[in-house]
Amino acid sequence: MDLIFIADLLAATLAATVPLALCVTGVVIGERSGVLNLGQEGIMLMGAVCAFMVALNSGSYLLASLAGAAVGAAMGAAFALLTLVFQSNAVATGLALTIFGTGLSAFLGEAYVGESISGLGPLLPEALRTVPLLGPVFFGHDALFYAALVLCLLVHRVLHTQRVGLMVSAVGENPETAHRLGLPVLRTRWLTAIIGCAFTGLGGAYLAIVYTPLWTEGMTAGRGWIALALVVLAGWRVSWGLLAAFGFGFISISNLVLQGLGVTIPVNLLATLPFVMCLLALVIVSSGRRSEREPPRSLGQTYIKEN
Amino acid sequence: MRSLILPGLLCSLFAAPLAFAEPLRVAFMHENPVGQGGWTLSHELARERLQTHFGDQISTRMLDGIAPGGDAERVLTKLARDGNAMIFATSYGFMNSALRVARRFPRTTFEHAAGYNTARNLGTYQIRAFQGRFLAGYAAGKLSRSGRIGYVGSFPIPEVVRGINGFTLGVRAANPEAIVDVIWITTWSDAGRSREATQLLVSQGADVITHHTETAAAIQTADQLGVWSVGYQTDRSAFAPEHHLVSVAHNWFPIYRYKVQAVLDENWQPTQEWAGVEADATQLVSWGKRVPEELINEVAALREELLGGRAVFAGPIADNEGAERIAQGSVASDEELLAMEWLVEGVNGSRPD
Amino acid sequence: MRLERRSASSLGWQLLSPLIAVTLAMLTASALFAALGHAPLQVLELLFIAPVSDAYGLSELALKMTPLLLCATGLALCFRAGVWNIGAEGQYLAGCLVGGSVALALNSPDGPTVWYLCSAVVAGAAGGAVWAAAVALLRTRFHCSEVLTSIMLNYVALYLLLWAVGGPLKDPAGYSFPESALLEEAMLLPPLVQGYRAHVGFAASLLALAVLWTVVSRTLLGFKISVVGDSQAAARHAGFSEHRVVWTVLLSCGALAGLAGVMTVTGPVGQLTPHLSSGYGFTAIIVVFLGRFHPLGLLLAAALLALSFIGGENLQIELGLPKSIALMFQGLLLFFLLATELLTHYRLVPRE
Repeated sequence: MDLIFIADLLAATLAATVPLALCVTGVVIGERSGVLNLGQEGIMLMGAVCAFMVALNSGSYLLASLAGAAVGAAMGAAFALLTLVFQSNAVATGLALTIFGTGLSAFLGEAYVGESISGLGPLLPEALRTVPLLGPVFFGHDALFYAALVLCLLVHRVLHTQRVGLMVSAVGENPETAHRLGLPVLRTRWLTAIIGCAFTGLGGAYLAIVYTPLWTEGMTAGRGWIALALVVLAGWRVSWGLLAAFGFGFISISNLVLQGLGVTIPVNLLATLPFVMCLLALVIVSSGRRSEREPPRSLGQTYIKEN
Repeated sequence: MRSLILPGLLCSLFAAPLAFAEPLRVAFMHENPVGQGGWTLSHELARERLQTHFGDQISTRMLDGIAPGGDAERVLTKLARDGNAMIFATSYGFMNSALRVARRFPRTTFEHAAGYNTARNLGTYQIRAFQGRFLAGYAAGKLSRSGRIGYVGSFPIPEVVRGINGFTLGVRAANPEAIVDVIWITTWSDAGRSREATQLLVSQGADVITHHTETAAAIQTADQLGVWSVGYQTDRSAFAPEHHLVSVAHNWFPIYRYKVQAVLDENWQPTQEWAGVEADATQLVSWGKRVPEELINEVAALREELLGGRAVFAGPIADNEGAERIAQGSVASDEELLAMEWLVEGVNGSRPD
Repeated sequence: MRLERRSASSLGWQLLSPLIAVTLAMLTASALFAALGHAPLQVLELLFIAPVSDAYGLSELALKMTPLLLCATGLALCFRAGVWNIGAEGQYLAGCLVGGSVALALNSPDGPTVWYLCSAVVAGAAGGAVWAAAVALLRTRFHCSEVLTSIMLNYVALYLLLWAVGGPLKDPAGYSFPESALLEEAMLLPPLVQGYRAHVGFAASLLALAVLWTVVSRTLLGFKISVVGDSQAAARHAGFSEHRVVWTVLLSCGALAGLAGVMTVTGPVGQLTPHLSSGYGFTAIIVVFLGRFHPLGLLLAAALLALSFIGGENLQIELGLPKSIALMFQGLLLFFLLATELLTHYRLVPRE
């Protein structure tokens, strides 16, 4: 394995990380305020199919990304309506959203299977991209890649250092107290549910219009579920979430690399590697400092406003 | 006078067929959604042609996304109870369900793709796709400068292994030094995984890419990276506008036409029907615009040789661990092909399981 | 108008609200079907009535319900204790793998096959329990969230099954296809009625449900489970061991899911294959919430979901509607059911 190959490997991992990272960020936004939405897989699929349809018909990647995010936001609003107004159980509502999203995306996308779009080219000038090693790893990506990175870091900053972020956490930790302190609990949760799902929708959009770029039924292949798990691993922090997404991507690509190196482990056993490593990581992380890794205390619970 | 005869004539013309030719009901059952492309889509394209070909004589219907196992058996039973005269089950996982249901509905004709079990009213059919693979492999071997060709595999089942071996034999016929790198992604439909595998194969030096997955993601990625690609199952050229080499497409139509005609003629037999280049069941379609004309002609000549009786798996053939698998002077039987689980010399990749 | 919380959830509305939800879902779906150019009544008939219009259809419904009910019963226990086990799917697959391996090892047409079959079934339950024990261990010993560990273990179980059927358990006479040998007739669960596919597993699932009902409503254990589920602090205060409750519910759920798995292998499928689950472990989560944790509710919810799967196939067969329509309908139905749950806890009163 030479350096160029390692650079290629890192570049591929970074690109593979983006859809997961966006989804992880979206989940953190929601869960820090106590919104537990297990519908990520369905939302991501809807974001993917709608973005692909818009990209194919309009040719505009900006419009397509916005469409992906908007559809995500709409599904987030539906989730908020059910859980916050109709006070339905969050776990069941999220699962219902996954089922509905899977069905509707397959239905909408039926006519788009076999269609092809060109995908986004690299954003940065040739001179930067050809810098040895660093170039291909960091400077060879498309515009949406950098936009996604900036968005995630922005969310990190807002959630973990700004007043708004503390407000969100307060609502997530103890909504009753937050209400008594005069914080708008329901409005906060509406917003986090919608914004969080917009990120997930954008993650789906990246998958369909940039990463692959094509549409097939069920193309997210479990990424929504994995994102939900990675958020727990990351202790509900965006920065750790990005790292966890990168680590997961790296291990799952490594299992492809190992095959090329002539490792003779059966491929199906090799495929368990990312999940086993994820469990190991969790054991190591969880056995250490406990207090910082508790979930938001009201996560997934129905909030009943006192009169 | 004329006004009297004509309606009468029309009546007699149409009444007879209407009275006795209830269309033959033919059903197709697939494991994956047509919406994932690939294998299932190739069957669906053939069904459409079949319906057009036979017109009023048959009426076809299609079900996709049926999980093998308990669900498949229920759907097969339902189709048989509904009076479908002929049922095509297109996934290897449907085999034992088809066998059980066929026993319970002796008057219905069942056909199972890719399997090995037959019964009094259950036949099987398969495409010798390894022939198309062999031809495309030859073209890939000629065009590759690096002598390394990347193959994105899904699961190590015999059908996939056969394709890899046929392709590699073709590659080696063109360039005996060339190597085929295989990466197994353990999924049929995850486009993201296909992309990652393709990127790795290219950075390991591959300058031609092919795949055995449902999606076209490998082809698309290869095109973006500027390397040749060989599409599989359906015409994938739309996904690689610049660097498409050729697609190895499945054409099930001749098999379906033959099988349905046999039922219509009431002389159907439970055969194991394997169709290859002779029936145009495996075809090379959409040659890339930058592929040299002489190469296309060379491949056409090679196809003629296959038509003339040349076998793809003709000994001596060794596996990639050095053991001889097919001896000098002998040819792999269909039975050996069906159960193939070793990789030929020239494949760089571990024994799949 | 405003909402006022009822002091106790209304029994009448508990019964009525699912009916309202089903009606609303049907109306919405009818509009959708009409827009697609199909007569709504015909579609609904195909979805809900045609599949169960004869004995064969009822038997198929019972067959489809069996794994759903077994998994849902176990999950209901977990969720009552506040243990968010998303891993019934993995526990089901572990049951398939372990139970199926034992059945294959003992596979024979004669001899004490009843005992062989029983060993296989017990092994399947044990396999599921072991898979759930990993979740329990990780939570009680290492403080790992069961949501994450159980999701990850689902994937691990799936790939282990794929490895086993493509490797050590592959049928030597099966032309290298990734499937095990077929089980002998004597190694299969007997049908409830000769000639139909529903097997004794359905009776077992009803029994499990009855046991759940008794445990939850009549025993100290059931009480402890609810206390732990409501508040872990309260449980500690009352002197219950939270860990013991977590272990109990997870092992029970794993065993039940494992049982569902092995009963699929020794039931309708009759061999180990890569595709033994149609997502039963996930669908069962919905069954639990739809059934509102009540045993009778679980039974009805399992029937409704199983019916919508079978009915969805009917739409594909009869009208050529894509399978995705059935999924959309399921999602819609769930939305309405969840939304109308509000009515059981609240009433509308005029604003003063």
